[in-house]
Amino acid sequence: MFEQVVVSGLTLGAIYALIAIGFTIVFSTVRVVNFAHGEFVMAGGVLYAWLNVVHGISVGVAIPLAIAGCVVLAWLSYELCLAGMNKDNHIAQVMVTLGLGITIKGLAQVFIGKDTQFPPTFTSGAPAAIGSVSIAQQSIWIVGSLAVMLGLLWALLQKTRVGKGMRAVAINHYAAVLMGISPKRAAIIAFALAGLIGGAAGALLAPVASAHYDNGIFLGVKGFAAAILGGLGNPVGAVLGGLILGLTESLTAGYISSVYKDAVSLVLLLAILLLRPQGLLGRRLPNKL
Amino acid sequence: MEITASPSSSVPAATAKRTGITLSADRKLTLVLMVVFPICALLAPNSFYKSVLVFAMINAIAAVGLCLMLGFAGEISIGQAAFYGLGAYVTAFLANQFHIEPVLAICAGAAAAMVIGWGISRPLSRLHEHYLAMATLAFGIIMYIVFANARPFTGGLDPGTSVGKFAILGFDLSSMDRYFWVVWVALGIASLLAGNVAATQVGRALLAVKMSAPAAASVGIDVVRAKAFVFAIGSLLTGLSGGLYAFFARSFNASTFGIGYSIELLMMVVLGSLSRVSGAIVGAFIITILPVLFEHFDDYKTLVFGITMVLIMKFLPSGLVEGVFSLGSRLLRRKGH
Repeated sequence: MFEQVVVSGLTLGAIYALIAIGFTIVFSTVRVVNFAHGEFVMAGGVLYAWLNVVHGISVGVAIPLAIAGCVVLAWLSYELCLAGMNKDNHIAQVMVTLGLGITIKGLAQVFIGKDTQFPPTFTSGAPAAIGSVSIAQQSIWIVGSLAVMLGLLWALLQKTRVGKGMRAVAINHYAAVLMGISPKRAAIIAFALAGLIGGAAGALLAPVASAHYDNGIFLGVKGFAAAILGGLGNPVGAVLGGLILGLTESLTAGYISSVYKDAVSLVLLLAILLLRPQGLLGRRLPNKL
Repeated sequence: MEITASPSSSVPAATAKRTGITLSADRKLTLVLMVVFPICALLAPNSFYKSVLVFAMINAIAAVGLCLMLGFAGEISIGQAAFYGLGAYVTAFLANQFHIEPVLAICAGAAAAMVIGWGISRPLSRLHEHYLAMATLAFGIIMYIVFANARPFTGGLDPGTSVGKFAILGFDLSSMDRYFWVVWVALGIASLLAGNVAATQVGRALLAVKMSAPAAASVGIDVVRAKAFVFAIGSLLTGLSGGLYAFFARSFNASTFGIGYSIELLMMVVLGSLSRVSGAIVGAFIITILPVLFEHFDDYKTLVFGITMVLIMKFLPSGLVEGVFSLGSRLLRRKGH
């Protein structure tokens, strides 16, 4: 029982980690907590289900299409809503991303529908068995995707010019501008990456936990909890936070109460925000005046 | 002497008068609205429209509370539905279990919401915009989960809760015609309270905290106390509106108190004004009446709300009615010259 709970916790945690990475990338380059991020994840799942279940497009085509849709959505979100906004009016920024999230949810509701869908798993086959623990194929896909994406993200941020530019913007916005790096381009790439990774998380999660237009805000809050747990702005922290959150939730559901598992992870979020807002891996930041 | 003295003395007098006018303009507008509501009620063709009006006024009370928090103190809250629910459930619980006077039950509900609001504001006062928004959102979701699952107290999602008729000292006021006046009085008290907060030292302290908390602290404003105060008042008003809702709906379940309501409240404030009590009331009126005016509005509600919120916050961050108002007055002034 315990091993099985841990496996499902790690699977869930990998999903949260993927969502948290999106929050972290956008926060470090644009300095905005993107309240619409959960809706990108929702869109990934809902688009995949819509393309596959409703339109009968095969799994191998539907998944890349759904993820591409999320990238476009994220790019448009930045271009149409956040670009050119006053950076000091944080309340307006919060409200704009919140409104953006509601818009995406409304689009899904109006154009795709309100039905809950269960798209097929990526590959069908018997679950792998290690000793007494059985691991579903979709879990392997989820954890594998996290590993691959982390690797690619690391290569992008460390090895390429674009990635180095993004890190420069994250470290010091003005110095980066003086070095000829365009913060707007960095922001667009950050949003596109968030859409890509978030959309993939949504598509990976949908076969296990259903796709529904109303899921976004929940996924967003959980992903944010994971990001803040590890320290916002730190991709490694995001992964750590995601795994801790997933394990906590699955242990709560397994041993305490499945009804209150969401409440437990949100209480964890509040506790971290209040006691250690820089996260487990973050360093304390001085207060800006 | 007299010739030179009169213009120089008129300058400070004029500026003083102008600030006097802007402060009371909000109150005048609120007063006008308080007269408009009964006129609308008289003109309402049937009791359905009257009940929509009563619901608009109930929402207005909660919106006024949020307006104080968001507009004056800059304390964003995406979890107001929690206080609304607390007010409603405490009211219903006391009225059902102990059969206490409905007015007292509503007051107790509002007080309970205030205590919780004050309680969470102390730790939350450490957090700033983005983090505060996320924390209040999490708080709202936690409370929703509690409402939906603490079935012995709340009835959860099914069967929910029902309360008896509203009466004062045994005098039945539950018909929509009479309950209208109950809510009208409550809205009057709420806007008077909010107006007083806005017009006095407390309100100016809140505005200072909104602009810069460290600067406010440097001139002797107790920032934590100011934030706790505005959270307490905001949740008090939202709890009051929840208690009134309990006797308005008579039967409700936890789904009323989800994130959706918190976002509708934000929409009311954003649509009206982020700095005027009257604006929040207008916003509440618009948001409540829209689904009635447009038949299939509920299907498109989410989409319309989302796009509206983005457009308003991007182009008129002080609120729609407020923005249009100030744009209009600027144009008028330009014409006058």
